[in-house]
Amino acid sequence: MADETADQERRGFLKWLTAGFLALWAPAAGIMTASFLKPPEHGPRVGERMIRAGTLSSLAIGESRFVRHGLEPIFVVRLADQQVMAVSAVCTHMQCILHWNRDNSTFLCPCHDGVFDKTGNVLSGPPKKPLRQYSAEIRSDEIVVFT
Amino acid sequence: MSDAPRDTQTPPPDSRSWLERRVNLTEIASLLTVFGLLPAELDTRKPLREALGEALSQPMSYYERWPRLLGLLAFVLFLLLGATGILLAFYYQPTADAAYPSVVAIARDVSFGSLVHQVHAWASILFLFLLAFRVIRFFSIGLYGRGREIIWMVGVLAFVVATFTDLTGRLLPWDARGYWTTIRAREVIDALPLIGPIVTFLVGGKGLDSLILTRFYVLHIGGFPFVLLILFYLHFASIRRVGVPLPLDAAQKPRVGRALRIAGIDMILLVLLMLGVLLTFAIIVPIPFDVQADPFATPPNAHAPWYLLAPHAVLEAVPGLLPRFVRGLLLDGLLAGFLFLPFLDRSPGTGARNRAFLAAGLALLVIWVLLTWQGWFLEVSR
Repeated sequence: MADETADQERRGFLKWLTAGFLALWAPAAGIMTASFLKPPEHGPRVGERMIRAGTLSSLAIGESRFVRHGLEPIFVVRLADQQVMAVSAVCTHMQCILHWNRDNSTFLCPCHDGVFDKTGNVLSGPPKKPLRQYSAEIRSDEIVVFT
Repeated sequence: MSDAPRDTQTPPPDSRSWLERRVNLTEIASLLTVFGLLPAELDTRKPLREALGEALSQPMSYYERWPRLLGLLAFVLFLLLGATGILLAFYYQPTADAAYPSVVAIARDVSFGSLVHQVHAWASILFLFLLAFRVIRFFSIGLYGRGREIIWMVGVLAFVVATFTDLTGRLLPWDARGYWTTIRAREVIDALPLIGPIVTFLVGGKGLDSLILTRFYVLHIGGFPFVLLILFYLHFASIRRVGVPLPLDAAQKPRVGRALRIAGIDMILLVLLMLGVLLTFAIIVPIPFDVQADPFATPPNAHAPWYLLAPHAVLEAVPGLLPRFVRGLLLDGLLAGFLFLPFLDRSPGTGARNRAFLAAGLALLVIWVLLTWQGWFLEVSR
């Protein structure tokens, strides 16, 4: 009688062990699938981070220039004789692409009438955050923007 | 009566779980039976636990575990190919320019990417061999007549469709070997009357460009696997109607045990063993990548995939003996004869006629192997 219960206990333990071993496949497969699906880093290479944004002399003071870089649209604004600034052309409200309003030097959003000034601060409309800024510098006569 | 809500009659005590009262879990689990993963039928009117217990304690002959094996392992491989294929599709880009870089990115940059890719490749090899071996087994013990016509035809068709799936998959990486293998294979298939035009129509032309790659991709991930799934369904449906064949001694004096012990546990162990073998091969013997395909430079040892080497030899060897069209017709006739074998050989399973068919089949197999060797040699010697 005692033997039988011991037998049953052993049997139950082995069953549990087998089920546990089989169940290990599930988290292993799950972890592998999740790490497979996590996209690998594909940040831009060093050369791609530097954007040539045209010559300084062809951009009048107070004017802006639209620059396409991959999927990033960028506005370069010449603030003063030797001062340029680069801001993202993507509205911080709903990701619409901004227009440059030459008359009062503002960026106008075509979707919900958000207005930004030429340095990217919100003037009016639904957007809350200012535009993302890129560092820009002048090398001899060329404007260079870094992402 | 009138002021009581209508359905306040005390319901009978319900032992079923919360989910079970809302969803017929047994019916969902019976999908396992439909695709042969569970050896016994489930009574879908009963709750899952009860139905499973009943089904798995049914008596079953010990012999029955073996005949199910090849089909079951093939179906498990099919599921595995589907799962790894879906994962690969998350990164693969089916255009001539992007295909090769995307596959290289999977193998190099994605975590476990190389493993998933290799498991997919090795599983496809094993899948084809299992399906071929199944047809050979059916033939060698005469399992194709007397109610098993559909099982036989589905088995042959499954192998043919699986080779098409394999063939369309070989082109996808757009590496030199895959590209030129496909060129060779299409040369062979285009020479077959009826089959050639159908394939050309399906893939949308004779050449190999980006549009055709997209067709190959869609056929590989959607079209052919769907057909395979239907064939598997038909196969298991017919098996459940006809039953597993028992040899005479097993049918007369069956050693009987519980279905769970006989089919369930052994199957789990065999599936695990197969997965282990597959993972081992995928890691230790990875199938190497070739360079990106260049349509203007043929690598020296491009040859058709193994299942097309014999047809290739039939089409190319001993020129001047038969016109190419007649050779193609011969191959078509061979395939049709093989497919409709149960209606050609109507013998009762024993006797001289059956032995003649068996001898002819074995001779054909030997000739096929020799032709395969010849087909390989045809390309290598160039």
